[in-house]
Amino acid sequence: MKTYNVNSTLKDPVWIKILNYLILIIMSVISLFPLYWGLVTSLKPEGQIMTYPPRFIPETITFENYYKVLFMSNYKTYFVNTIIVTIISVIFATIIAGHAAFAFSRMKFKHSDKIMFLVLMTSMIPPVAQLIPLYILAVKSGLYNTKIVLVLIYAAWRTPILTWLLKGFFDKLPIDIEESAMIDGCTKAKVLYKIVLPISKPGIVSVALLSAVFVWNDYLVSASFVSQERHRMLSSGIYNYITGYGVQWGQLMGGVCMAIIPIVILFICLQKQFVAGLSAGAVKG
Amino acid sequence: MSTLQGTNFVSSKKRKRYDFYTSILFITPLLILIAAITIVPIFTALRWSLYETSYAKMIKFVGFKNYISIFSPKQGGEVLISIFNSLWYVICSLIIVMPLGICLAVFLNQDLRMRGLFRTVIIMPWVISQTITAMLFRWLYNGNFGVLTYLCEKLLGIQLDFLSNIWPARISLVLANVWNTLPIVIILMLAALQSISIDIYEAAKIDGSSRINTFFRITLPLLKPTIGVTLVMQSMEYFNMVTLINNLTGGGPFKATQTLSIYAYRQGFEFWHVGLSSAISVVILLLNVVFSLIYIRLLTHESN
Repeated sequence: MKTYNVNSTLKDPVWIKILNYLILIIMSVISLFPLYWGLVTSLKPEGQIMTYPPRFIPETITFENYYKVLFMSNYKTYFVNTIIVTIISVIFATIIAGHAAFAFSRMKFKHSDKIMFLVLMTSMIPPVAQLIPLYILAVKSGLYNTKIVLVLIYAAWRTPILTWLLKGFFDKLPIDIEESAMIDGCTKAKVLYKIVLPISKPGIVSVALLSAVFVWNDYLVSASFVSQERHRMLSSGIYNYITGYGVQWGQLMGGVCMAIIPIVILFICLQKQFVAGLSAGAVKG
Repeated sequence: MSTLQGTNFVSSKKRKRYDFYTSILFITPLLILIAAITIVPIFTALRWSLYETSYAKMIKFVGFKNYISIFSPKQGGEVLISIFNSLWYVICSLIIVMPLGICLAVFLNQDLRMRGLFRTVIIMPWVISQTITAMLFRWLYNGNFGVLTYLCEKLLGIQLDFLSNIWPARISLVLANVWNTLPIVIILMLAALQSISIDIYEAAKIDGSSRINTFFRITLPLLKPTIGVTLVMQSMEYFNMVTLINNLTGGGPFKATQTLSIYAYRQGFEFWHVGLSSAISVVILLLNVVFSLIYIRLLTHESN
């Protein structure tokens, strides 16, 4: 990526450079501090958490809070549920969106563009407006308190944007290879599986990742459609710590940190893919 | 290609039909899923909004009574307060997020040492969920042991329980939202900045344009389409936000942070006034349609 380079060419005075770094350092501190504070709190023994003035560096470090969260609550169940639901929803949504995107991109028929547009529009419907009807539908159909309802809703909410983004990727692929494959007698379906999918793997991964973050982070759906502990997901599980009697801040922050760690690691490793997917989404809707 | 087609294919017509059926097969699952999970509920909500309800049962058709009652002063004018709260929340967040996001994107687009590290760190809050943001800030704002409470007392000499006073709660909520959503604005602006050609800046440099001049005369005008799109996108995001507000302040204290979305959510899931909640949802939906139309206009305008 070529970036312009005002700094070195303009020969800025030193104080501007210092100011630059100062602003970025201050912003970095603001970004990190809430996370740091959560981590520090989770590592303090119970007696040192509720102190005033607060102590910014812990005197003693203990993993007691983590132990309690992991082995004396349902946290492990929440964690496993979240992983299962996230993976299944994302795979399910990507398979549906991938096929549809290919059809919209390569097998245009009458009004197919209009259908694509209408599908995309459904992603603009606010979730609050759908929640209550969906809740009652779920109860009536017996899907309330199952992981299936979570997967279905997440998939339905993510597929429109996924389809749109994947269509964008497919539209940009060079068409020559596919044409020659078609001449050799490949069907369209075979073109999708043998040529298009392998080529566009990076693109697919980057948009699927965005959906994974969405599902992992969602609270509304998981809190509304599941009330049994054995199906509960992380975000609603964590929120329940705070509504319960007497907040155990150390344990709560321990739970928070463990929920963040996988996604922060994923973000640091795959930052480029995330940013690519996000900016594609913004430019294309 | 058309000359080859006839020779190689058994029958191109048969093949075309086959492809058509394949495409229908590919699209159908998507349409079924969206129809069942998105379209049906919206129409259900529309219908309910016209009925008097008791829990999930429709009692009788009442026309627009629900709509009239949510706007009537008898309900304590709650809708009007909620609209005010929504506007305050959306506008305040945008006023902070947009200029800050643009400036930081410009800073982060320069040739700096450790640029990658700064980018990663500053964008990091993007992956943190609204629930977790709410938890982290509840702890920071805690009236007895919160760090921000402590800093506020030390620096400003005011002892303040942020989340239990009306205006401090409103401001605290906006700040937590800014922390969580600033990264997405930075990401979008950075992407736009990186697509600006380097030549323009070199030309400006040769002409002796100052940094500030270059920013206002070149960067900002070129960013305008992205700024427009981001503005509409974020307004919708903030307007529809439920999780962060619900989990940080719960709409309180004294409904000071109860936005329209929170109002609909609570009427539905807490009081089970399904008809009323549906009516509010329809109002929210209509406002979203307006936003979406602006959004589409901006996008199509941009691509032309």
